[in-house]
Parts: sequence; structure tokens; C-alpha cells
Amino acid sequence: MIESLSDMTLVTQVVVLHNKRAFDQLVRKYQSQVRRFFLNQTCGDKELSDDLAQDTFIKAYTSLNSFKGAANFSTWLYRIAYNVFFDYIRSQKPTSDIDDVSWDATYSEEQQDLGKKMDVYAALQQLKEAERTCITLFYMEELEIKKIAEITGLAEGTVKSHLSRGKEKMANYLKQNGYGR
Amino acid sequence: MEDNERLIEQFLKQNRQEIADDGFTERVMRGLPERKPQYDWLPTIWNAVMMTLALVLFIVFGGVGLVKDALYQNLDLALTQGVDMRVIFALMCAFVFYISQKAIQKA
Repeated sequence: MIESLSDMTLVTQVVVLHNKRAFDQLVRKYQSQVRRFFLNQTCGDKELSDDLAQDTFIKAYTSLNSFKGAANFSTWLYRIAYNVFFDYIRSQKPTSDIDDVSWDATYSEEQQDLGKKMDVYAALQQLKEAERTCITLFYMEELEIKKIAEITGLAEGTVKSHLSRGKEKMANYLKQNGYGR
Repeated sequence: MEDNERLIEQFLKQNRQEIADDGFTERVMRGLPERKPQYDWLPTIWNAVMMTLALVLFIVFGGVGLVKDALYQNLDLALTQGVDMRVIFALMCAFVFYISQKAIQKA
């Protein structure tokens, strides 16, 4: 509650007083989660993720007047990020199914940095776009199904279906690669 | 089923990373456009509707004829009885006020 109050204060300062410093604070606060969202959706393409995250914040800045505080600022920002991402996909593959878009896992710089047994992005690549969005928002960002439905514009039942299918695919993949034994 | 749930939850939470800013915020702030105040059309539309309504009522209830009659009566009065000194004084005051406003604007 206090967090959303302070977000609302910062938003008001930007909208009413045209205070850019207040927006700077909002970007600093949410940059990590927005960039992580894009890293997960693009399966680790850092450069593209940063470009899309930048687009998201610019769109948020220009349409800040429309933020009325009904949702959390973070949910509102995720919704913009989600739209930016799917606009990008549509612009890349205008004639094919959105779920057909594949990402090059060689972009996954974090793989070496983290020294994990298996790249998280390789696991996420097994999922369709919508499944990946639902799975990462639910498990990594710990958002409720209701919030995910709000962000994606999907019905709660559809979110549950994506979660269920994504969970099954991912669990199989992880087990095949030696996890969960 | 619960095992799958736990496996995925554990795997994704382990791989959840906090991303360092590394100049990202500055890049965003440099790329921000100037905020344009959004024009609110509602008051303009409301004013236009009310003005039109007022004009229609004015015409329907004979406002034009009333104004015309009043003007003719005043003109007639001025021509027959001469112009009142108070009117000349009021006009002079208005003129002085207008000149002083212009001077202030120039300054």
C-alpha cells in the first residue's frame, strides 16, 4: 500500500509538475523487473531486451496521464511491456503465428555468468510465447493469476490452461536434463 | 503433479536475477520526449453546445428585436437630448485604462 502510494506520488509529480526526476526514480525502481521480463520472453537476448524495455518506459512516460491508479503501477507497466513485446513480434513475423517465433539461445550471455548446469532460457525456449509469459510471471515474478490475466488481457481460465501446458512441457524438459532426481 | 510444480518453482526462482542498472536509466531519461499537455476537448464541446443553446433561445424569445429597439431608443434619446456627461466621463476612463494596460504590456 505504501509502495503504491509512493508510486502514485511520483506519477503525480511527473504528470502535474512535469518533474522528470520523479520519472527517473520510477525507472530506477522498475528497470530490473521490466528488463528481466523481456530477457525471459526473448530467451536471453540482452540487446533486444534493453531496446524493448527502453520503448516500454518511453511509452509509459508519454501515456502517464492515462494511469489512474486503479491497478498497481507495476501491473500497468507490465501491461505496456507485454504490448510492446507482442507488437515487436507481430512486426517481425506479420504473416505467421506468434507462437512460431523462435529465439536464438546463443544470445544468452547470462549462461556463462551464472555458471548454471543448464540455461534457464533454453528451458523457456521449449514453451510457446503465451505459455512462457504466464509461466515466468507466475513463478518468477510471483504474480497472481488475476494479475496475469489483467496484464495479458486473457481470461483467467486461459491463463490457467497456459500455465498447465507450460508446466508440463517445462517439467518434462527439466527431468530429461537431470533435474528433479 | 505437485513435484512438477515444486521443480519449476525452484528452478525459476533460483534463476531469478536482479539486473544492475548500468546506465540504463540514464539512457531512458535521455530518450524521453517532451511531454505535450493533452488537450481536453470536453470543456470546449460543452461551451460550444451551451453557446449554441443560448443563441437559439435568444433568437426564439425575440432577443434580437429587443436589442434593436433599445439601440434605436438610446440613439433617439442622444440625438434629441444631447449626450450625457457621465457617458463621456466613462468613455475617457475606459480610454485611460486601455492606454495604461498597453504601457504595462510594453514594459
